[in-house]
Amino acid sequence: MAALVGAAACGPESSDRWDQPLQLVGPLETSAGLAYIEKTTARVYVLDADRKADTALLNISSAKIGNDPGVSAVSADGKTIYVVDRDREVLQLVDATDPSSIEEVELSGDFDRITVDPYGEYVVLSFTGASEENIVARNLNEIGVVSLKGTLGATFTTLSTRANSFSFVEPFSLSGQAQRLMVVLANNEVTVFDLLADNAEDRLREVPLTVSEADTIRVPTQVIFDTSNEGKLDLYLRTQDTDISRVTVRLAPDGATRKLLLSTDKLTVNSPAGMEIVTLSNGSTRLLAISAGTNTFTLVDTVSDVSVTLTLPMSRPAQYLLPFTTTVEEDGELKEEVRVIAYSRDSPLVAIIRPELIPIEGDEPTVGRSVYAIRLEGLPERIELSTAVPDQAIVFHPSSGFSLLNLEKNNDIPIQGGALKDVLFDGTFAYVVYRTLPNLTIFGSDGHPTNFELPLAGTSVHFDSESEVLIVPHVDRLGSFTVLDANDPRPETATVYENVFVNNFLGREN
Amino acid sequence: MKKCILIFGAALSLFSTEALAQELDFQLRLGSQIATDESFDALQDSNLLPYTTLQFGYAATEGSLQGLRLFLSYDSTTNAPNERLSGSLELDWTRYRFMVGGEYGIMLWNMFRPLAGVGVGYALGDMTVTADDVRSDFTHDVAAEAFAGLDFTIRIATFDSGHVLRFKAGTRIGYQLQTEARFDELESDASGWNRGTNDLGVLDTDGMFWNLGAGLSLAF
Repeated sequence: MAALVGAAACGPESSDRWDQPLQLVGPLETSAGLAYIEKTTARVYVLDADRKADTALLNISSAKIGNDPGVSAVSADGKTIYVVDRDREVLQLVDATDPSSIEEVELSGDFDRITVDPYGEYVVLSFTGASEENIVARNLNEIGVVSLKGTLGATFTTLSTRANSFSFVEPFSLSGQAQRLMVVLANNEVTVFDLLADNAEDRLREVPLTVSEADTIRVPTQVIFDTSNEGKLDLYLRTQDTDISRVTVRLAPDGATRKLLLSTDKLTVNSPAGMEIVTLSNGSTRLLAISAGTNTFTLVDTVSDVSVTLTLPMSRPAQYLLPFTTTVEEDGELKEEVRVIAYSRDSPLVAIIRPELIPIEGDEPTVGRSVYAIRLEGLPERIELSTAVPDQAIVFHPSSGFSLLNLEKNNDIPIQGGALKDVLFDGTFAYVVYRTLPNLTIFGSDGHPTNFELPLAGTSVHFDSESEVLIVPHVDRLGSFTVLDANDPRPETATVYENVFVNNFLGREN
Repeated sequence: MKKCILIFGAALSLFSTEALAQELDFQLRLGSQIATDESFDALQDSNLLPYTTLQFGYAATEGSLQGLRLFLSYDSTTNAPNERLSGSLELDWTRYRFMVGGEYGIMLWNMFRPLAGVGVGYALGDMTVTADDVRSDFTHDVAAEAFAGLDFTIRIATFDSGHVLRFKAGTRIGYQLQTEARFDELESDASGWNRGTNDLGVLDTDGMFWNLGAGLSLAF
């Protein structure tokens, strides 16, 4: 009979959207906690760690955002979450503290890449060119620059070449004039974008990387800025395994308002796989580059352009550079010295380079080993410097276990155990979660591990310094988290949160 | 012809009402509620929620209260759960209502009784969420309803004591209201760790309903 009544009254059926799996983006680290964008239900979630007495807790807030959330990012200060609503073509600025507080900036398209100015003044939107369904027409060379200073608004510019990536130069001055520059890296071209220019003519300065469009495509992959020289900006540009160019930016000498002049020269570094700028104790700067084809590195004096190439004590060419600062005693005084770790995923030998001790033509010869090696127990997958313990780095191995590198004693402490998934340094301790093991390990400065239980293996570990609570997300379709007292991470003081992204499920809108 | 008159007379006698003072009845009703709130889309694909009602009634068939029937009812409404979020989640919801009310109707041709009525009572909501674990929560709300309907009555038997047993059937159409049911403390059945609760949100159950019922009454 109920079926009869049911057949008699026909209402609209629910949308298929209820049946789609959740599509999560995150975690995004914000100043208010971990944030997630859930695209299927078009909601933003902010998980704020808290504690009540001895028990670690999670405050969960969420809000509806635009119907079709696309790409997202977090502001440099962590206070704002940027989300492109592809439905209405707007950039939404979500307050991480109060996700229901949303500002909007109208866009000229459904941009699919956000680049955030690390100095907090601009957000740049662009197209990656990745193929997607339901595209009617897009100008892939168009970018939008949102100014966060004063009145919120966006300006739109079409570049000569589609951007691969954007880099912001820190605020500096040229001949006393304040500058905010952005560098656009594109195939065969680099564009210096003057963000403070008040007219279109002076806004863009393009630097071609090839003589002819018919030449082999050159892809710039890394850019480093040197703003230490008054009156000019040096921009070091590495093209993938090809060469390093230097673009020098100066103000036009005619006193014109903001016109920039660019000049380019090439450094004598062949097939660089990576580069770093290091400043020596005497104030001079050197560019250090590793070769993609040989186990060598080159050190270039950025003033004289004189270089020296030395062999790395590694069996394979280095792939990555990791500069760090250590303290050394010299003539009874402590002073800081920049050193660089060079490593390859294919070599168990890690090289430590001391640029201070490498004389380039005309330098005084120095005493001491300028390059030396540390042998690891296994191949390194990646290396992270510890922010908790000076002169310490943690080495992730691809299969199992990990190593603590003591960069002062130049040895490695192998830690037998599970393969690392994530490590967090909180200033005092290192917190580690594993790929498959349901455990959390805390390492003290002496490298001693203390193991704790988790209900499930963690995917990452996050620290809330205000409440001194650790948040460990787990692999789970509906959102599963464990929050633990960072000082006493036992199950008795922890709380497990499950189905977090099902919260407010009855209130979701189709 | 005489035979036909006898049969017709016998038939009429089935619907006749004697001047008895009171009547007790029991009815079973089956029906559907039409969910109007989008929150029900989380529970099932259809907007129709089947429900079952057991009802006990008392009516005075003489005097100033003639035509008034008081009732006590218990009903249970449940969803036909559908998997949600690509099979990650299933929600089972049942609401139990305990209502008191009254309806007023006029007997026509000793057979039909058009009526209108209201009821008020208590609603208990029971939500179970099955995901990686099983979680449940209860809600406690005030419910009310207003309806109109039509009953059909025939006499089955007259006992030596003079009591009359009748068969009743009828339909109701109406609107039901309920305070918002918030399922904000879904607790897990898992053990071993302190576990946070889930806030699923609010289920708004207001909406139209329609049912068909049948039962027996005893007049004495």
